[in-house]
Amino acid sequence: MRMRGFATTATTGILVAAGLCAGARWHMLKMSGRKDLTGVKSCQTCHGRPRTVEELPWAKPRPHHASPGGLVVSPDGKRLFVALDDMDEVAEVDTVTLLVVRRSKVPGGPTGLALDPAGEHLYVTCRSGDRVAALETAMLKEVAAAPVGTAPVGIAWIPSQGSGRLVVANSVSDDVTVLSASPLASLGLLAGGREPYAVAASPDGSTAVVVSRMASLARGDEVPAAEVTVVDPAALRVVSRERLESGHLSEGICAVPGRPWTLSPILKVRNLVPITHAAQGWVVSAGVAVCDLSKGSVVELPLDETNAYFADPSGIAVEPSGKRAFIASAGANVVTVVDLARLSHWLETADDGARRGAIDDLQLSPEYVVARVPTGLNPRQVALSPDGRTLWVAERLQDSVLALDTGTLQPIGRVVLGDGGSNDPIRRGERVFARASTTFQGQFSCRSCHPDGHADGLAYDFDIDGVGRDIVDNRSLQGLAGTEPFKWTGKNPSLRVQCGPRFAKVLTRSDPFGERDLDDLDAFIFSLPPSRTRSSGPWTDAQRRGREIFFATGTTDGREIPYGLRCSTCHRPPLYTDHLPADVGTKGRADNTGLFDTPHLLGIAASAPFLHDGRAATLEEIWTVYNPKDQHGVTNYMNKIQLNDLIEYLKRL
Amino acid sequence: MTARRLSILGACFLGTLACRGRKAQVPAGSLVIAQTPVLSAASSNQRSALDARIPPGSRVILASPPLKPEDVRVLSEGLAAAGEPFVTPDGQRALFTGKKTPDGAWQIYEVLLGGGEPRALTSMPGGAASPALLADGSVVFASPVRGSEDGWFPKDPAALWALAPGGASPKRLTWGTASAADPTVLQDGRILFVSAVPPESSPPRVSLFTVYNDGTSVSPYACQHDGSGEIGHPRELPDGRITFLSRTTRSGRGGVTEMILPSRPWMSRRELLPAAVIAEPLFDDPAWDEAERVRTEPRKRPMGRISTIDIAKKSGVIFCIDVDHTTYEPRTRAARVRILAAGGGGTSRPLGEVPVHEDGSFMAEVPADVALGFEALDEAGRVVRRLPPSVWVRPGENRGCIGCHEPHGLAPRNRRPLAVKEPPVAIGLVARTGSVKRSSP
Repeated sequence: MRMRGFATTATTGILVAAGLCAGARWHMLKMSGRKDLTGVKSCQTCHGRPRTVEELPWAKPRPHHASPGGLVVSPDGKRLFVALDDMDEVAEVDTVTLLVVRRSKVPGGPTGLALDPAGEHLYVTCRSGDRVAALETAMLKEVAAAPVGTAPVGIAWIPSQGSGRLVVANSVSDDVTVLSASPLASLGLLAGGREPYAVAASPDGSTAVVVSRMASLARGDEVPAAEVTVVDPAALRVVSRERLESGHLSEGICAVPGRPWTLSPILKVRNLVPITHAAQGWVVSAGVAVCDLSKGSVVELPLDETNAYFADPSGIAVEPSGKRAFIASAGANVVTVVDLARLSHWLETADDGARRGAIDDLQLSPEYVVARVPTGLNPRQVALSPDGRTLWVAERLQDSVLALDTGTLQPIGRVVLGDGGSNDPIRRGERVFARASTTFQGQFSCRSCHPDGHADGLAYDFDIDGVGRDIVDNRSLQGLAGTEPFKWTGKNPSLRVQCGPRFAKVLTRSDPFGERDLDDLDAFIFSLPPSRTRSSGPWTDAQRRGREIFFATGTTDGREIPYGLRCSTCHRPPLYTDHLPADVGTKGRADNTGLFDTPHLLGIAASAPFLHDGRAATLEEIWTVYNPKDQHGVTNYMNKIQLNDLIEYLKRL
Repeated sequence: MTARRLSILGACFLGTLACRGRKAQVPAGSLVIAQTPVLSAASSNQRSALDARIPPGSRVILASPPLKPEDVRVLSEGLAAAGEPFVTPDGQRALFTGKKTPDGAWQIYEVLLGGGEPRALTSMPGGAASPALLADGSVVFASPVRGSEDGWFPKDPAALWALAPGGASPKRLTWGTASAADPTVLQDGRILFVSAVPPESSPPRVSLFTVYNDGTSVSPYACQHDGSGEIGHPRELPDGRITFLSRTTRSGRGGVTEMILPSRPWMSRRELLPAAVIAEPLFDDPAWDEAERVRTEPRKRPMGRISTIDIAKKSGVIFCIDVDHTTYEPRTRAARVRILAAGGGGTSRPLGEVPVHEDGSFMAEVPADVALGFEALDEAGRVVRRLPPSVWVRPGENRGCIGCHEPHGLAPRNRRPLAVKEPPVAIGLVARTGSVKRSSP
């Protein structure tokens, strides 16, 4: 009797469970519009997600820090100006007492600084405000402002045409604004490289040189290259574009007095080489690009050594005498000192082949690197006093500026701007993100490939899936909160898994991050808002039309679009992802699967290239080239104007 | 208070004492020292170079400040001979090479510096020597102990092995045709060891190599072009420089201490100290020769690394970006590459050939844990460059090379090799292990 009761209960239980599973599967297939999903996904795949972006960590208030950005020293050497972008302030420092004597509010994320030759006006790029502000240095008060391109970063005063001109690198709109200094007004806009970032006057002061932080988009096996754009601000034209082959993360540029050179720190990426290990600079190495403007030639030289790397070279300054250059290695917490006479001697005696291959010779740097000076956390920008005796180093992630005696290369003191933020998990996470000591021989940091948490726009071949297999585009980390799962295959359910031991095994080839580091990384990465795009202001008609197309249930010729092939089915608001893998017909010869994670679309316009292996250089190409069978949504009915409207809408997200 | 509570308290107290005993810190400034008896007669039965270096009666001691000879503790108590001490990064334990009887085999021993008897960690046939510690606590050592007449290319070359903490049997790491000796663990986690470049022309060139903690990525580190002199006992200084002993024969004591800079290892070899400098001994016992001393202060643990091998596999993949990237002259263009495996008695046997792509690249799936060599062949099948069997891949390892005898210290050029666009060519595999192409017979 008891056995019979047990059997009845068990059978009933099994039937109920099977019914629930069948119901859940029916619900899953119906709501996702998919027929290719196997099994039953967890309810949490779709439910339990944020319903609005306001619930996400990046939308919530966070602590702000006095992180030093741009630095500039007054012509008399008595004052140091420091941009504090996270505080919307510019600080003035007494260079003798090393004390902050004044702070001025400058809205819009003050980032880059430039002074006029008399030191009477300080020009400030406001990265989030898309403007340049002019401050009178006597009172440190804003007296004028002018709009520029999107996300201006670098700025330089060019002694040209009467009152002088300002040249500004606009990092998101990929262009360069030329302004008159007095009155402060935009004169013209020139196309830059990909993410123009730093600006300097050329050695003779007649032109401006602008370096782009990102390598240009390269298709397939093309070698990527960043760019030094030489601009004539008087004629408002680009004079030349010099190619930094496989250059990336160029955040500084400086002219060399007495030589027709500009120097730009670079990361030499090796994204085309299958990542089978990290030694020998196999993933990336640090260098400096010497651009000879008189010849239009570029030689890239290593800053790394055979068994040690100095990751993420960022700011650069050259002594007024032109004898030495100081390069902040942001991931290694050192300033690298380069003897330019020795470097010049090597260049003069090397043959063409040696110069071409110099960047790959990891035994070369002792020829001209004469010192490595330790600094605080994340040295990014550097500035020299006019007499060249003091080097100022912005220690960005500890809210301080280090003063170094360039004669002894010993610290003189430190300007304390804030408390360092050690109690803030987001700040701690950014420190983990920016430090290279967690990779084999300190070769790279998370920031090397994800500057500002964004992506470098390059595709990589990780050998864990087989050499030459599953080449994947690097994905932005901005706006990532709530968009789980991660990885192009969608196999990582959380950031902790994504950044855990597998990451150490495949990429850093070192100890994995510890538990606390993972917690802090979570806090930092999830605090990153979606990427900025160029689109802002009121909605345009094209964007409105594009929104209708995105949510359309039928084509313009009256056919119904199947539920599973509508844009909004998979790219479901508010994050524009359904968190499920999908086959959109993009499986290539090197791919082990055709199922790829559905990416979120917030800030998508800034995340080129597109698709899992970065094959689409533009949003247009996704549908005009890589969607012949309407597997990636029904789009082939659209005419050119409709497709443009759809893309205008996507750029707005 | 009940008797039960008293007994628990008593147990806790004893436990605390025991824990203290285990965790007892030796005084700051203490040294672990290897000593050999002064005027010790060389053993009449010197079966190995180690027997000559560590004669009978040699011992390992702990000396604490003020470093007086009369106030030392013998760590190798009960052993017939002991030497090659290594102190773990936590400063708690010493490892050393020792043997119980004069005719016994050398093995690796462990002893707590806080007190206790030495404990044998290994029982390797042919003996074990030169212990060091990996980041995960595994003990790495060389085995078998090289015979005094073996040379660098014996029939059964010494290899490096790793014994995991609490592990039952050690795992073999190196598979070269030359013996591997004197391992030390660098701060970046790699194992630095002494071995020899295969003798295309005798004598072999003894030099420094590195390998990861799982035996992958064996690579030359330094001294590959420095002639035939013997070197040994490499160590990494706190500032990153690598020191080693240089001598004409391995059996002699003393010798010159040399160094290399890690920034340019193939260009910086020189004597560590000028000849005029005579260092004052930190510890001097007239009855003994101090062969080696090691500080006991805790130091930074080396970087770890998660193994990339898949022990279930029998093969690995090797690809070369450009086989024509070489220092050899003339740089004759290679059309094919013949892959060789080590045979007996210094011979090699061909496993098969793999075509070279237009850009000079090739990729092959090859047997794991076998010493492999390569011959670049021109269109007519003539050998234009040759690397005798000396490198290997571990199971599941993907090994990338820049060229064939390319200059040392190079990073790869940023380009995608044509060879990686196709599956690797299977060479010398017994059974298919994946999506691979077969080589032509």
